[in-house]
Amino acid sequence: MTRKTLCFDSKKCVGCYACTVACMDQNDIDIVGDGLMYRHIAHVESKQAGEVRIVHISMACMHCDNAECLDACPAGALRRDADSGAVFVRRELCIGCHACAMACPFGIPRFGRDGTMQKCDACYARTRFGYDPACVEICPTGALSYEDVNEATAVRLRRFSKSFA
Amino acid sequence: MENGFADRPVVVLGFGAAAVSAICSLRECGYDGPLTVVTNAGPEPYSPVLTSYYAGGRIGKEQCFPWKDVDFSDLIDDLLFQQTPVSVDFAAHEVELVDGRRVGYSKLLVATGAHPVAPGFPELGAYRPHALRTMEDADRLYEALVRKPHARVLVSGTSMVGLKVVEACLDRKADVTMLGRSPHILRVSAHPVVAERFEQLLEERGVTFRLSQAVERVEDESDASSYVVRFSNGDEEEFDEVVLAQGVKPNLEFMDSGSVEMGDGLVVDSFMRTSVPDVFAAGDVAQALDLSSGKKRVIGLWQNAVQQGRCAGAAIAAELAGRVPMRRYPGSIPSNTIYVQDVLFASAGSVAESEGRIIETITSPQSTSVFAYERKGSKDQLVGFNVLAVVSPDFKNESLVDDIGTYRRAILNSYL
Repeated sequence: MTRKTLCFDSKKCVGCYACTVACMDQNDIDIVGDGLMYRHIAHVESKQAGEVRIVHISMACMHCDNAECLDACPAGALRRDADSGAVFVRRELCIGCHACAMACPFGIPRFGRDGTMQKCDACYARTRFGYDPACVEICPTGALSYEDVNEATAVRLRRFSKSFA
Repeated sequence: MENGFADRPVVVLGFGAAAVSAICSLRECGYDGPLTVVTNAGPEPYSPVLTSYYAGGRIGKEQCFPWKDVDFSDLIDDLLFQQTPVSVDFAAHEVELVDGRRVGYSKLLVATGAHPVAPGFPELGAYRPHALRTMEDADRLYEALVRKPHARVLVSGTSMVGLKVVEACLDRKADVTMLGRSPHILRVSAHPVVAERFEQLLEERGVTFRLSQAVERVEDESDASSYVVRFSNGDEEEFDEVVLAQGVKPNLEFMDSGSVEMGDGLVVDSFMRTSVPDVFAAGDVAQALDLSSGKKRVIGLWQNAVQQGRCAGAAIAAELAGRVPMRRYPGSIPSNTIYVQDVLFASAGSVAESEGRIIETITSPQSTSVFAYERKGSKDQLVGFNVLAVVSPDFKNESLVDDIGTYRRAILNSYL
């Protein structure tokens, strides 16, 4: 199975929140009750050449190659799926110790009413059947994509190399 | 390898987080030669972190073995369990075991963990106080707490382990008293303001504190079912069980301190190599770089053990293949989280007050936090924090708790 990864292009994101809603729908997250959102939008303002610029960042678990949360979990509750590369939590093993929260540099782990950790699993329930994650499928601008790791790296390098042109 | 020991197995002493991580890393990095593991425990590795959850009844015993998915028979050629090393002959590349066997090695990884110590605690005669480190310790505490509901338990030591024992006792509805020589709990990691609030919150949850006190004497009752403890302030109190949680010491009694560089543990470089060729160390026995002080010291954390083990395994595999090791252990900072009932304490770096440091305290009805900054260049750099919060789904006040990882990263970034 070709390993794929979630990609985000901030230049295309308009901050419409469609991804967060699709995520809540896919994962049955009831935020009116005590549900915890897995995906968030940050709006970052900056001033460039006298003009105010707003960048929208859609953020969820990065499923890091070198995921510190995996190293920190003393209960074996966090695992990486060998096929997809996604880092997922087995909540039945989670002891709620917050070691993953201390290890994650992005502040991703959240803890529900039952005390166990919850986070994005890159829509494993969809991707194992060949579908894209819900946030990717709904994104109207193509800011979020689910790509072959090598292709994603090539795109990133092409984008980076343009900065030298 | 040109020293004549190349045909011998890689030997790993220990079978905890660092050892397992190193074993997996060795194989992932292409080492396909013989591998021998020596452990004083059973054939299945367990997580000492989970022992308090088991003793308190939150999880079953079977859940203390987090590597059930790993088929160790694929990775390890010879597993010598219930075995203890008694000496290492560096010149002959051999480990002597307690049964007299000598095991030769090409590379040796020392990952033997640590054991509890209780300096200054008086002799208890026939009574063996509890500790909480091994599965045997956990079994014994589990049985004691189940056998006698509402047992009166004295926990000597106000460290993280002491608090884990307190949590287990509270889960079992025990009547728990925490004893410490310092005026406040968590002397090393908590700012006094946070420690005091933590003590108040724990008192509200049924914990009794005896701080700035020590035990002078322990006497068995005539039926040996309880113990009268005399404290340094003259008080006497009866307890059913005594748990020692004053600290730990690396399991290195078998190492000759004259032949290898040792301090609190085995001094290692960034590839986890000790001062002796072909000998590596990882986990609670390794004295590695503490980024916050710039000195090498043992920081006994699960995450450190896993990462050190991985680096050691990669370095051993590289050296045996004639390659230069690449994966460096970058060092770490002290950090920890602990949950007692609904109270979470998280700390990283240092919040000790010193000249030039700015200490910021943030207090709300449900939380008390302290952030320590040092001026570096033109910026105030975060060097340590404590977050103490009552984490209840009804409060929705978890923003500080949610951000502990970003605070820790900010501290790490200032050193890396």
